[in-house]
Amino acid sequence: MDSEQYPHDERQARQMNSFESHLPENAVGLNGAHEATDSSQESLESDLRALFAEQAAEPIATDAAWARIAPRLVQMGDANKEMITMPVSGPMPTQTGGIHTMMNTTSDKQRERQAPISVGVSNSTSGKRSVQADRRHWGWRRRALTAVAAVVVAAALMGAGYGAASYFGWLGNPKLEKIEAEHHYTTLNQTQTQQGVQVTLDWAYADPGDFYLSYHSMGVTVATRDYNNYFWMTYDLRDQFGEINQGGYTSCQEGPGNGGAQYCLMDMGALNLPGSVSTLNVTLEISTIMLAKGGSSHTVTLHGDWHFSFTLPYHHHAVQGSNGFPPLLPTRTR
Amino acid sequence: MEGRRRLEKHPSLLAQPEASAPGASNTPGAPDADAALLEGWRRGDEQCVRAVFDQYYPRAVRLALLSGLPPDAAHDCAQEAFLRAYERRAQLADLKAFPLWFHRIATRQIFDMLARRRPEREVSLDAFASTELAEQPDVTSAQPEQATLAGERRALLWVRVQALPPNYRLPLVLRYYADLSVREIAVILGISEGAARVTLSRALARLRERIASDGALTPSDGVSV
Repeated sequence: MDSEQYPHDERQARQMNSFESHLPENAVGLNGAHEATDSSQESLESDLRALFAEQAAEPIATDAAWARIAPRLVQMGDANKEMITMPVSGPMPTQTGGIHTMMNTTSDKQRERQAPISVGVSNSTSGKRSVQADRRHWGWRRRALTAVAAVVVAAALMGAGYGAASYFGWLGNPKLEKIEAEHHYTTLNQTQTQQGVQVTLDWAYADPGDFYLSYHSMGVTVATRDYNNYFWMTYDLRDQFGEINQGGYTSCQEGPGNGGAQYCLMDMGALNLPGSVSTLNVTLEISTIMLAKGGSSHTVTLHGDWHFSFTLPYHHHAVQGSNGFPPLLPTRTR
Repeated sequence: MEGRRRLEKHPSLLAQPEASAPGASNTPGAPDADAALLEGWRRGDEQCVRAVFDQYYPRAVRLALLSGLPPDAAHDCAQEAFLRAYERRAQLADLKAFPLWFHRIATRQIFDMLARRRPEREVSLDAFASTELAEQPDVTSAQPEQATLAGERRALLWVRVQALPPNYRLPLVLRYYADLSVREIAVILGISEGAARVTLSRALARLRERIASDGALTPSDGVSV
């Protein structure tokens, strides 16, 4: 059935009907029966039309049928036959263990609100997660509310001077504000799309105190676009000296759903590198991303290979905020 | 959001599909809207997928019902057809051909379902047809005093149509319900135009024979419905 040509031209169809109507009245079919051109034939045809129209008059409801097939449509993925991995059973993790979830500049109320969307970083690439396997339902009302909320959040962020393309995490971190204001960061703008999830690395920064990586993730297919959170569940982040993700901290804004992006800032803490190092050759391989909706236990786990590599200057003198903001994590030794 | 914007730009997309002709494969009056809708469907835009579903699912269900499937099976059939269409949407080169393409998928589903349900029809049509009236007494004999003559004839015609084998019945439904041309029916059935025309002719001839043999309905009478 590949690329078959169908007579979609109305004029062609009319010509076909016209061709039929020009058959001689005594035309004989292959079965020997006379082609019906008499009044009884016309009567039978009109009777059939009326009969079918009458039998088909009852309206057909679509809601129940849509509810039945929607989950299967979701599982079909996009046109490139990129199939979503079937969700598997298990509790939905809100964060990985032993990792801070929020900065101390966040209020309890904010922490409570953001807890499901701020996750820690996985310690290794081997731990594939089991997550809740609820059937997906497209909740129009919730999505509409989410969209409105997203607009409000976006407006608030823009008002505070936070551009969408360069997410600098949270308000009140003087170091990050200085990194942004003085443009100490390196713009990356690298994008990878797999399994209907697009991951874009926005910028990065490294000094003896912190390794920052700002990124945003979004769903780009019907199956993935309606989620608010795109958590990197397993990934491998390393430079030329070894693995970087030995523990870290990631803060995310909840995405708006409806295809909107979720912006995140990852802080890996101090790298503790030798003084001779001037650049970092960084590679990032994300192997598992979990999609989740705010306020819902429904999650989907996707396995893929979102691969990035970039070079980053290593700032030997850490940018200091005006109030000498302390490092987020204790210095590690590699 | 893109899909919503598109729907807002083309209010006709939100119109109830029942308002259009059942076989309006080339929907007149809103080609741009249809094109936008189907583009969104192919892209996977959720709202467009739903809109396409709302538009074509009822047609598929009716095709299945008229072809002789019971309601549950008809709905299953139509749902499976839509899922298959969505799964294979990358194979459709020209979106203008979607209505016919979808009819083809739905028709194949109906054929498959009919074959699974009543294989005996294919084997002994005449025997089945002769017993069909006896199997459905409600149609003609229940409360005869209340049934009008037109109602009886209509019921008889319905029974006779349903007594036809699927390979005759389905083309009749496509032709006289979906209002498709012979060429379109040929494409859907995967046969030549000539074969489609002959199939329709034979189906009508078989129907006329059965009606004539009933006595109550003669070709000269026609069927008053």
